[in-house]
This record gives sequence, structure tokens and C-alpha cells, in this order.
Amino acid sequence: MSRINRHNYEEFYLDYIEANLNAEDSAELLLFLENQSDLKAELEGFELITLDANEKISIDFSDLKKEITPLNAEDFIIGSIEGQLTKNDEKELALVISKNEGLKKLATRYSNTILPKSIIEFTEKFKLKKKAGILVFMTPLRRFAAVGLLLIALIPFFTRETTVHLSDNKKPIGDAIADSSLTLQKDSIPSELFLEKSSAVIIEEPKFIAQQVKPASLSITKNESAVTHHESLEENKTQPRLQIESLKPKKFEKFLIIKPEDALAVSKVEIPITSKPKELLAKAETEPQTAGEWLNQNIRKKLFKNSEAKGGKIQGNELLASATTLLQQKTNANVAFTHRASISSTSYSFTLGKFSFSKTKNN
Amino acid sequence: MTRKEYNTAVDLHADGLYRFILKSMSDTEAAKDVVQDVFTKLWIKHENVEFGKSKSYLFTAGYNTMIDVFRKNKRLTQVDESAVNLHSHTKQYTDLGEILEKALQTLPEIHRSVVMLRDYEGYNYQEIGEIVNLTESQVKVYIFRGRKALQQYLKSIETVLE
Repeated sequence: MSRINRHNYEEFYLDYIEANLNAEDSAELLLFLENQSDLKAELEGFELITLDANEKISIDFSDLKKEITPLNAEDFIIGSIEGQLTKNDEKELALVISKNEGLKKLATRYSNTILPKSIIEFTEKFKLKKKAGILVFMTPLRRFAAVGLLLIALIPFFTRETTVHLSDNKKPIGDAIADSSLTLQKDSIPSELFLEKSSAVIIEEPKFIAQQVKPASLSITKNESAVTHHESLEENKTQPRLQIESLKPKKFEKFLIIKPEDALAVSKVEIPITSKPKELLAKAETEPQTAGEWLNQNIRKKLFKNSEAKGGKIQGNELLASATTLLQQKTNANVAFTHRASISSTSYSFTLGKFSFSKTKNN
Repeated sequence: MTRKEYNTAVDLHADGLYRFILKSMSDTEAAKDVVQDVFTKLWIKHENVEFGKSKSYLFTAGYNTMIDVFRKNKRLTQVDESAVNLHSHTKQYTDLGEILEKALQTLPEIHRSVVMLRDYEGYNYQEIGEIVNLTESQVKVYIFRGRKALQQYLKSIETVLE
């Protein structure tokens, strides 16, 4: 079987034309080509091209020589100002330049291309320098505590305080009222109680008021029917008169007159008209005016008490969780606290308005 | 690098870096921004950068930042765009320094940078190559072309003045 086929015939043919093929393979190749007319036609024009190693080519290598001439002096001038020439080259170059006026000008121009040491000062170095900072090392518990204290301090700024004056009339309704009218803070009263009751409290020295009070409008009341609650002081006429007048929608008719020392106590007396007045009153008395006060009064006591019962240590995340819950209930601030615990890690994140932080701890 | 060394680097190299950037960008505020940015980068990595290499770091970061700004603003100087209008500018020049300054602005950005690093900062070819990310041979070629272009500019100015 013939070893020559269409896939390897080039290899045999190359050996054939280089006379490296033996007689047997040569005969086999010629026989193969006889049967493959297209390949035979292709190879008929093929001639072995060889390079003549004795061919002589004349090239002028004078440009490659390191001789300084007027033609290549420019390169050496640049090399000179770059400090790349040897002493001998410098001498040779100087000699060539001295004989040619054009090269002298060229050398002068090149020497002028060296940039002068201009002084440009960066005047804002002080902004770049770093001053030594104070490093405060805090344990995680202290960090939580610090954040908690910060939140407590910030809470008043996030609470919604609306001061409502009982007398919304610009006109004075009497010197006594104008001098001694008290204000109620809306947040200090449960909303349901706030909408259903109103009162005017006037503090005055124990003397009789003869001046008639002019009608005054009341802005905090709605269309609810005002209920008048009279509390007669006629039982003890020797004491300062105490008059409590529930405010009608449009005018005052009577006044509550109490001692100054009783002002604080009286200020908390409300006149409920709901079906559960006692509960609401009790709630109003215990309700703090701000979330911060509420925290001071309740959360810290409860939280610390509970924690002490557990083991005596206050956990920062507990404080934050409780603070978050209360802030969400008592304020309209954007507050969130998440605690995720898995087998491998525990993570906390806390958000208060635009302030947020998170911590992940590997278990 | 310690904080003290970093501040020393500010004292030693801020002026040179600012000059390098300013003469390349021809924009005071942009140059200040680049210097500020570069020193910020140095401070971020100051624990990993040796004081002895701070200058090289600053100029490398400065050059790269500058190139980023050029690309962003599409203000990269092209050779063809740097043709000199001698007739409209020649009479403003009062001394060689100003002429050379103007000639420098006509160079392509890379030619200008390598020449400035060579003349202002005295870097060798290898150091320049590290800063602008070129081989030593490429740096030599660019400096050669830059000097040749500067010389041609000076020659053309002389011709006009004569």
C-alpha cells in the first residue's frame, strides 16, 4: 500500500526536489502524481529557490560609526545637554561645533531648551498636613453606652412639641388672665383626653377679682360640647378662692383662683368628660412631657432593674432596643433597631434619622 | 511612613508636584485638586509607602491622576493640535523663559512630562519610566523628540524676530 497520499505528498515532494528521497520512494511519488493530475499540474511549476550565501551586498555603515560629524552633530548635542556623552565625545563635539557657525547656534538653542528651575509654591500645604489626633479606646459596651447617652441627649430634638395657649385671642382678656395664663403642652396629655376637655387655670394672689372677663376664643377645642364644671369655694370663704371653669368654645365665664404654691398641683387637674375619667387622669399625670423625660423616668428604671435581675450587667443592645421601641411610640422620629443572630455571627444595626451604625460580631 | 514623615513629604515635594501638574494642566484650580487628591492617596497608604519612595509615589500618582483628568475632560494635547501660531503670539514674549514656557505647552503631553521630570526634578531615565510607565528607551526617545521640538520652536521664534 502506498504511503503517499494527498495529506503528506508535500513532504515527499520536498525531499524529492532536494534529492533526499531514495529511488523507491521517488518512484512511488511519481506514480502518485501521475494518478493525481491536479497535484501534478501544481507541482510542475515549483522550483526550489535557494539563497546565495556568496552574494555580496555593499552597505555604507559610516552613519553607524560614533564619529561626530556636522550631519550627526545634533544627536550628540542633545546627548551632551542630557549628560550622556563621555569626556572624549564632549571634546570631539566641541571641536566640530567650533568649526561650524550653524552648529554653534544649534547648540545654543538646545542649551536653552533646558527648563529653568522656576519656583512655584503650593500655598495650601497646611491643608495637606495631618495633625495628631486624640485616640479614645472604648470597649464595645462603652460604645453602646456612649451612643445611648447621645441618643438620650438628642431625643428632645426629635420630639414633637406643640405649645398651645389656652388663650389664642390676641386681645387681652383681663390683666389677671394675661399675667397668669398657663400653657399646656400637647404631648403631655393623652390625645383622647386633650380633645375632649379643656380648662383655664388662673393663678392669683388671694384677692377678689372684680373685673369681668371678656369672651375669648379657644383654638385647641373642636366642636365638642363643652361641659361646665363648677367647683364652689363657698365652703371655705377664708381660703383663697378656687374657681375652675371649663372653657366653652367661645368664652370664659369663671376662673379658677388658687394659691401660687398650689399652682403645680392645680395645673395637673383636668376635667375629663369621657367615660373613664379616672384612668385618663392617671395617665395624664404619669405621662411625661417629652420622650426624653419619659426615658429618664421609666425606661432606665425598668431596663436597669430588669437587667440587674438577670445578672447585673446592662447590655447596650438591650438599651438600644428599648430606646428604639419607646422612640417609635412616643416620637415621630425615624428610628429602627435590628438584631440578627445566627450560628456564626451576631449583627446589630441602629438608625436614628440620618444617623446609623451597625456592628457584626463573629460568634 | 509616619505622620511626621508624611508632613515632611508635604514640605519637600508639594511644591515640585504642584509645578509639575500646573505646567502640564495650565489650570491652577485643577492642579491644586490633583495635588490634594494625590496627597490624600498617599495618606491613605502612608503605612505602606516608605518615606524614601514618597516622591516617586507622589509623582506617579500625580501623573496618573492628571492623565485621568485629561481623559475625562478630553483635553489631551495632540501633536497636530499643538501647531504654533507664531504670528499671533510672538510679540507677547519678553524673555526666554516665557518663550520656553509657551514652547513647552506646544509639546505633546508625554513629551512635556518627561522633559519636565528630567529638568525640574532631575530624575534619570529609569525613574521617569517608572513614573510615566514607559521603558527607559522610550523615555530617551520622548526626551529626544521633546528637546528637538523645543529647539525647533526657539528657532522659529528667532526666525520671526529676525
